[in-house]
Amino acid sequence: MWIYEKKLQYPVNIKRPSARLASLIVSQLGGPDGEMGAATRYLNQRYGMPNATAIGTLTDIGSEELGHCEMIGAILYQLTRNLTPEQITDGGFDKYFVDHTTGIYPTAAAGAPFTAAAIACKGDPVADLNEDLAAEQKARVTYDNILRLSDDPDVTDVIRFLRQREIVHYQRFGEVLRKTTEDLDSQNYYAFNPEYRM
Amino acid sequence: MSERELMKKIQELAFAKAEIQLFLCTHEDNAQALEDYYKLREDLAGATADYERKYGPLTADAVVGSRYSFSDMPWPWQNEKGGGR
Repeated sequence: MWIYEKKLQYPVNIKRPSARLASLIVSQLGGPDGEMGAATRYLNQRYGMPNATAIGTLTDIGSEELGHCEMIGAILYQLTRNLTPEQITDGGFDKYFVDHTTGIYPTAAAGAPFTAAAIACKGDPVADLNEDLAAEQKARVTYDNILRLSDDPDVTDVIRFLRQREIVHYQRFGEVLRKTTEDLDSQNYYAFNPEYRM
Repeated sequence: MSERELMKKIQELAFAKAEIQLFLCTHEDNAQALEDYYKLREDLAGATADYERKYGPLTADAVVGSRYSFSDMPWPWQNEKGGGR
C-alpha cells in the first residue's frame, strides 16, 4: 500500500519554458531507462526475491522511483507551459504535441511509446539484481546526456539530483547482490539458477 | 518560517531520512545509522506537524476542520500557483 505525500522529493521550479528540453527529458519518464520502468521493474521483482534485504531494498527504491516519475512530470509540466506554436515547432516538440498536446505521456525521446519491454523481470534473483545494477547505470548515463544538452540551470539542478540517486541505488543494489550471492551454496561458484525449484 | 522555508526544511529532513532508511535496508545492524534515523524521524514529524498546522495537510490523514482541504491548490508541480516545491 502507498500513501501520497503532497510534496516533491526535491523541489522543481523552472521559470523558463523549453520545448526542446521537454522533448528530451520525457525519455526519463517513458523511455527505455526511465523512471516509470524503474519503479515498475523493482516493485514487480520483489515477489521472486529470497531474502528480506532484497525485498526491503526493492520496496524502498521502487517507491522512491514513483516519486521520481512525479518529479519528471513536474519538469515536463513547467517546461511546456505557455509555449507558442513557433516555440513548439522550433524546439522539435511538434510531433509529440500533435498527439498529446502538453499532456504528460510516457514515451522515449525518439518517439517510441512506453513499453513493458523496459521492465525486466526474470524471476531469478541473481539475474534480476544484475539487471537492476545495469538499469541504474543506464539511467545515470541518460541523465549525463541530458546534462550535456541542458542550457537551463533550473533544469540542470534537478537532473543532477536525480543522477545522484541512480548512483546511490547502484551502490545499494550491489550490496543486495553480494548478500544474495553469499547466501547461495558455497559450492555454487557460478551463482547458477539459485531460486527456481520444480 | 515562511511556507517555502518550512517546506525546504521538511524536504531536507525527509531526504536525509530516506537516504538513511535505504542505507539501513542493507545495514540493518548499524547502530549509528539507526540512531540517526530515529532522530531524523522525530525532527521530520515535528516539522511536518508545524507545517500542516500553518499551511494545510501534506497527506489526506492530516485533514482537520469543516471542509476537505487536501485537494486544495497548489499541488507540488504548480509553480505558477505557489507550488514548485
